[in-house]
Amino acid sequence: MVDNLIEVTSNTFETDFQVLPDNIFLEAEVLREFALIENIAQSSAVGLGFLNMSTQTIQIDGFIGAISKLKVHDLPKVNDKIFTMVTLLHQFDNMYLLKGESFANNKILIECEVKLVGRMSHQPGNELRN
Amino acid sequence: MYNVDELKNDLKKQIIEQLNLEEITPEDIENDAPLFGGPGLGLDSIDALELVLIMERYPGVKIPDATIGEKVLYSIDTMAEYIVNSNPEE
Repeated sequence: MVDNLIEVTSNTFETDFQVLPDNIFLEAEVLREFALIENIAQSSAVGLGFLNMSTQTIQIDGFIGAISKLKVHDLPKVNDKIFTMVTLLHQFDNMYLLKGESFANNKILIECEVKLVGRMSHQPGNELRN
Repeated sequence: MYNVDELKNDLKKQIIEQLNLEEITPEDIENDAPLFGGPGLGLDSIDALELVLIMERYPGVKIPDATIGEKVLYSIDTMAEYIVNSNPEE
């Protein structure tokens, strides 16, 4: 549910994702809400994973702890390209609070906060798993 | 200088609001009852992140790691004590 990690800073990640006709979350050529939430969660995991891989000290293998403050504004159609911006709001131990917003055709689709819980390993060189 | 009773009540209100504990009132939360698991509020570890955010809004408060967090976030009493002791004006 993420094609490319476009840009990463210490606390923001941007990804893109093309809605292809064979996406299993399409209904009547519209991508459903839960797929957008999954896209934000995976964008969060990819960004955090990239940051941690760059330090070569910590690997994240985690899960979604909670979704909150969810607002769905619009749904993308098949062949739309979704751009997702994630901001890391807070980290405590192995828990991360992130805000995600997704856009297509210059319109906001969805926004929410995501709590991710990561299992960490201090073994450099492991493959990233999401 | 904090009024400790007001501080504890404020903490309870924030916990209820942030965690959407719709059927709980501040009076339902005992100051010395454990917040996590068991007979208390029954919060889980993911809720700890919200409690840390609540705590770190108070001046000078920083919970640096889970070991300290486990002690500080045990009850309303321990949360209030940590805030009072972290206050730079104390």
